[in-house]
Amino acid sequence: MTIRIQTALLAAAVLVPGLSLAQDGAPGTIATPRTAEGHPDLNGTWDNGSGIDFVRPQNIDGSICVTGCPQPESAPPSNAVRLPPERPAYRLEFVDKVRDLEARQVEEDPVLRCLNPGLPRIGPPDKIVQIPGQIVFLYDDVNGNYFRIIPTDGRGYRPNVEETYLGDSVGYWEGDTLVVETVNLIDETWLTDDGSFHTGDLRVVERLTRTGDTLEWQATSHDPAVLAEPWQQRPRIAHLTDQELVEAAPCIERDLPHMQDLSHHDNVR
Amino acid sequence: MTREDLAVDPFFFEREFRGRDRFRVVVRTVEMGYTKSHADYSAEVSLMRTWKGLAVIAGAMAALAAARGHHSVSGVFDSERPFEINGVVAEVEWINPHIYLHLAVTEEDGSVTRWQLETAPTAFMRKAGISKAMLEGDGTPVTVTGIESHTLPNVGWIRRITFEDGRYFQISAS
Repeated sequence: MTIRIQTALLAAAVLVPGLSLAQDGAPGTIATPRTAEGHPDLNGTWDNGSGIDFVRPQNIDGSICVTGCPQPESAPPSNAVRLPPERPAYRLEFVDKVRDLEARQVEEDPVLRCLNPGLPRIGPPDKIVQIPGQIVFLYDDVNGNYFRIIPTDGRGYRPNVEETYLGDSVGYWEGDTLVVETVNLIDETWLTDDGSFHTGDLRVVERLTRTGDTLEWQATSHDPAVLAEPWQQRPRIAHLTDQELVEAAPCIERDLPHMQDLSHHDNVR
Repeated sequence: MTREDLAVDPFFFEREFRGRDRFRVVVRTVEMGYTKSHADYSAEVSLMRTWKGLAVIAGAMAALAAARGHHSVSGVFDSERPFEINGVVAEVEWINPHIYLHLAVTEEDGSVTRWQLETAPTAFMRKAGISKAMLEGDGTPVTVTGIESHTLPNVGWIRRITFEDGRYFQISAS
């Protein structure tokens, strides 16, 4: 039976490139540290997979296999489960616009032109620096390094600032969960890679909860002018790591002028 | 859609048995340089201890594969045009979303052709422990296999870089 199943899986794998196990989402193995103010200490570098969980390199007798590598039987299961894509629901009058943008994604998706993905598409922060009254999110994105400075001292949004890709944020604590509300987002970004446009009135609410050495990040997008309902994304889990962020390589896209097929172009997030 | 489009790799799977005759299969299409949320699907199937189970899996996977679009690799490079060239690394451009390696290839008539070879993003290399200096090498010739551009001469996508001593960097699965 085992051989038969293995054979079946091997044969099936000829048709697809990857199979993996469910994400564990296991709670942290250490106690959640706290700051002097009593809040959970979110300081640290947090590995959320960055969309490349499927890259499981192997060192083989001095050679290096980056993708498509034979994995030893003892290898731990990948935590790289990717569930079906999440899509915001649009008001009926905007469905055609979304479909049109999706059909022309290669021509229209700003991320494919090395622009900041914006909120919430950029995903969880890769590093958090937390000091009294202020939290800084740092991002190591394919398109570049980005940052957000989030006051947590009770002040409001900044007046008279330009709309930006990551907007203007304020943070506060709900129990042990950091809530970050963001407005003033530029309307040029997409929520996902399938034409999910938004207006300049988009408001994104992120909730970050540390449990031991894991961090759960969840974002909900509110844009009632175009969305039929708030778009609540599935939580993502990041793990504390001792890997330090590095300066991103410059993003210079050269393929698009030579694309022979203009259907969907993938991107890591 | 071809196998190259899907970057098929029979080793790139894991499985988890759930009960005696049931297991969960999560299907993920993998792109060289990009993965795509649309391309990620999961499916739970019963094998029923027969090859009928395989047919179910294969059918579902084929349908999922067909449902997805093309990507940068097949959009720019032709899986039907594999190449193998030997030359000296002239330059490595450590940039995103794709690194470029320029290879100086000496032709039979002594002229030198410079190939522009595209490969994975820097994050892939960082995760694999491959630095820019490692790609630049020590100036000795390397052999590169891959697939050529649909339209541009001497432009390709790297599958594997093999050094004179036999060591290699396999970057693309197919």
